[in-house]
Amino acid sequence: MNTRMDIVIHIGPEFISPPPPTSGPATGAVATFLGTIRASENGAPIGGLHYEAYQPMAETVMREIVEKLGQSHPCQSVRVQHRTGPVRVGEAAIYIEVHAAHRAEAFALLAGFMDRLKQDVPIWKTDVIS
Amino acid sequence: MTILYFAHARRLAGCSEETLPGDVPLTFQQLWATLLARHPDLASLRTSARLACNQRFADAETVFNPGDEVAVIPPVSGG
Repeated sequence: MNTRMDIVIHIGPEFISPPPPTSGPATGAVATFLGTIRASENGAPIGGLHYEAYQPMAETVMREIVEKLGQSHPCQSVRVQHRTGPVRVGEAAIYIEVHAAHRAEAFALLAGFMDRLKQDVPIWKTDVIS
Repeated sequence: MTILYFAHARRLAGCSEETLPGDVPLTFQQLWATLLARHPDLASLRTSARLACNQRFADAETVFNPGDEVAVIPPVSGG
């Protein structure tokens, strides 16, 4: 059985500040992930990283990844936000929120998405900010 | 045909976008040969970068037509 999954994807320079997730009556698990900028890169201290995206393709590829993973791990909704431009140490470069009936599907989709993101989504760390 | 260069590919090509003249389709190999002739420094990305055609990853069988939007996609590093 395939139920439709709500997918929201946003790629842009806006600061990531997710509100506390609220769940619907059929939701038993909300898995969230924030990928944040560490204070060092290859052993050297940094102030941040600069991200660049091929935005329309990145959004398309992200959506395809979520839809494909949703076939194996049915979830109710997925929200992804990825920043572009300068991101300072401690700030989030990516936020993912997955709603599902049970935690196993939410965890699996979230982890699978991050793995695929790092292989196939045209987004790059292009510069180190000192 | 519009060519978009991202990240390291942009640095090597020295531009983020250019238009390739010509009104005939190009094979995958022909397009790479054209890009390398215009920007020899891209050779260092030839084995690691992928091409996209109209925002979908291309492969060795892809034919690139005049009017297509092509992107040179170096290894990605999002997240």
